[in-house]
This record gives sequence, structure tokens and C-alpha cells, in this order.
Amino acid sequence: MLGLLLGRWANIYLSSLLLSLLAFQRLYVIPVLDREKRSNRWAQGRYLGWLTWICCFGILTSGVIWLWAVIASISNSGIELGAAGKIVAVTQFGRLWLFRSFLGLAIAGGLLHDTLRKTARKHSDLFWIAVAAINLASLAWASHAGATTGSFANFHLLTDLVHLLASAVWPGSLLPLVVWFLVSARGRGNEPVDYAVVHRFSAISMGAVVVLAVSGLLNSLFMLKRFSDFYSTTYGQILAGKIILFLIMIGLGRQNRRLLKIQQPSAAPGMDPSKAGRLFRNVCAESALAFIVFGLAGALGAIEPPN
Amino acid sequence: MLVFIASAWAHAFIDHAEPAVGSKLASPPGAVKIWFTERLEPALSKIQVFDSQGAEVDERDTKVDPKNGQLLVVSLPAIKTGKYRVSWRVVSVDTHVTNGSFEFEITG
Repeated sequence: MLGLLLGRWANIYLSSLLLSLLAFQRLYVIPVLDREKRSNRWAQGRYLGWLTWICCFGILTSGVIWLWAVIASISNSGIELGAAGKIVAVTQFGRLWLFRSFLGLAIAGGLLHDTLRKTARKHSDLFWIAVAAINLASLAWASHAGATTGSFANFHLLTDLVHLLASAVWPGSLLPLVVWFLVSARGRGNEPVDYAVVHRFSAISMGAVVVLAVSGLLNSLFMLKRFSDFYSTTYGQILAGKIILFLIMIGLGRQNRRLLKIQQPSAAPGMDPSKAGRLFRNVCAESALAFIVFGLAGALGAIEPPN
Repeated sequence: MLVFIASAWAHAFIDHAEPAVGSKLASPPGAVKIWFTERLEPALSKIQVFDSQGAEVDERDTKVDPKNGQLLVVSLPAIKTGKYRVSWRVVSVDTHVTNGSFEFEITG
């Protein structure tokens, strides 16, 4: 069971993070640079490249751990090659695992290709963002939503899929933002751009929070029978823990927005260093909480729901 | 009536069965059908039927109904009067394993 929990946790977190890393510049940095008519010093994304590589490797590794745990639980008598092959070849999970492994390898191959070429093709990042989005969204078929039956089955699958994709916008993008802070702190003279990126991140995150809250609420309605399930079942208790952490993260986000409002870009070229420091600490705390929230999400998919 | 479900982390449970759990029948059924709460993996799900001596009496042809992914069926030959135990082990499409058993009786 531990292998299943860890495999799911790492795979879901890293799949969300991979999409965030690939989309971070397209979503937050490039629009700001274009608006400010600044040279695109971040366009090649080398500063996030190492993290993207770790993600690809982590997704493939955690995928193998997840598969191993599933095979062990199904075969009931240790891992046998024949049983493993059968599970990969004939089950919904096995076929999904093959498909997602192919996507992971394709993204790694694409990154390697771009690295060796030194320069990426213009807009090639959009293709890899789409592949990473499919990789993340496909996790819905490995969740409870993928096994749901009845008239709401497709709707449940859709809400789960939207929930997963929104997680890459927020909180998945928090770690890339932490890296962004660290990198921008090394550079000088880019404060207005840095501020604008953080401001844009904050605005887009608010939209993602709304989508996460609505899709999460709908998913909860599918999985819980009654309100008392929140405290009387293991599933409900884990879900309640996830919601509490989510609310704490929203609280930190609100604090961040207040810090950003105090410091308007027109008032000064950059942020007050003390406020920037507080913002950085808050984002680090949010990012750490996000890691735990993804773990709880992974556990929810592995245990029996009340409904 | 005897129903035993043995899996703490399981997901696909019995919705209902034919013959019903613990039922007494006047004539032998042609098959045992179990409806589960989730869709099943056909290659990894099976039903076995044992007589009171522990001998397997089903036709060993368990299959998931092609029109209903939640329905598992195994054929039975013409079995005699007596108590029978139905044992099942299924894998739902979200990869969780459940197993359990129940009894029915043919009174003749």
C-alpha cells in the first residue's frame, strides 16, 4: 500500500509540476516581457530546465513504482512477469500506464532534442505544453472518476479532469514561482518585470482557485454520501484535511495579494525588499503545503470512497 | 446467510446477485450472476462455485457481460440439491481488488 500511495503522490505532483514548468513562461513571463517591450532573456527557459528534467525522470520512475504496487496488489502472490505483462496489456490502468509512459518519454526526448539544438523552434513549447496537459489530464482515468458508472459518469470524469488541469495553474505553478524569485533575486534592474510577473501570477491564480473549488466541490458530491462522511470515514477525513490545507493556502494567497496591492507598480520601479521577502516566504510555505495537498489527493484515489 | 468481503482498500462491492445471497432455490440455476458497484477488468475477475465437499462445480467460463461492465457471470451445469458456496475475486477498472463469498442452497 505504501508503494501505491508514494507512487500516486509523486506521479500526480510531478505531472502537475511538469505542465506548470513548461507553461510558466508562456503564461506569466512572455506576456509581461512583450508588454514591457523587454528583451526576452527568459525565453529559452534554461533556468527551469533542470527542474523539468527531474520532473520527467520522476514521472517515469514514480509510474514504475505505481505500476509495481498495482501488480503486487492484483497478483496477490508477488510480482510475476506473466501477470505483470497481462495487467499492462489488458487492463484500463495498464494501457493508460503505457500511454502515459510514452508521453513522458516523448517530452524527455523533445527536451533533449531542444537542448542539443541549443535553440528551440519557435512555439515548439506550445506542443510540449499540450502533451504535458494530456499527460496530467489522463490521470483522471486512473482515479475513482475513471471507474464511475451511471448517468453522471462522464460528468464526473470531466470535473476530475478540470480539477487536475487547474492544479497545474495553481498550486502547481508555485514551485516555478519560487525558482523565479530565486533567479530574479540574482539579477538586478529587472524589478518592474519581476513585479509584473508576480502580479500576473496572482491574478491568474485567483481564477484557478475558483475552478479548483467548484470542481472539487462537485467531486466531493460524487464521492460522499452525506456530510457526516467527512468525519466518520477515512476518505472523508483525508478530504477534510485537504480542504483545510487548501483554505490555509488561500489565506496565504490573500495575504500575498494584499502585499502586492500595497506596492503598486506605478509607485516605485520594484518591490520593497522587506515585502518581497515576506512574499517569497509565503510562496515557499504555499508550495510546501501544495506538496502535502497533492499527497492527500493521491491517497484519496487509493482508498475506498463512502459513495 | 453468509456474506464475507475481505478487502480494506477495495472498491467494487456486490450490488446484488442471482441466486441471491443466502437464498434457497427449488431448481438449480443455469448460471451465477453478480452485479458489482464498479466496472470490472474482465481478464482479472472470476467467480467460482463450490459444493459442500469443496469441489468446484462451475463451468470455469467466468465473463463480464459485454453490455454491462459491472455484471460478472459464470455458467453452471445441472447441479444436485445441497449447499453451494460462491467465491469471487474481482479487479475494478481503477485497479482495486475485492474478494468475498456467499452461499445459496438448492432444496430440490
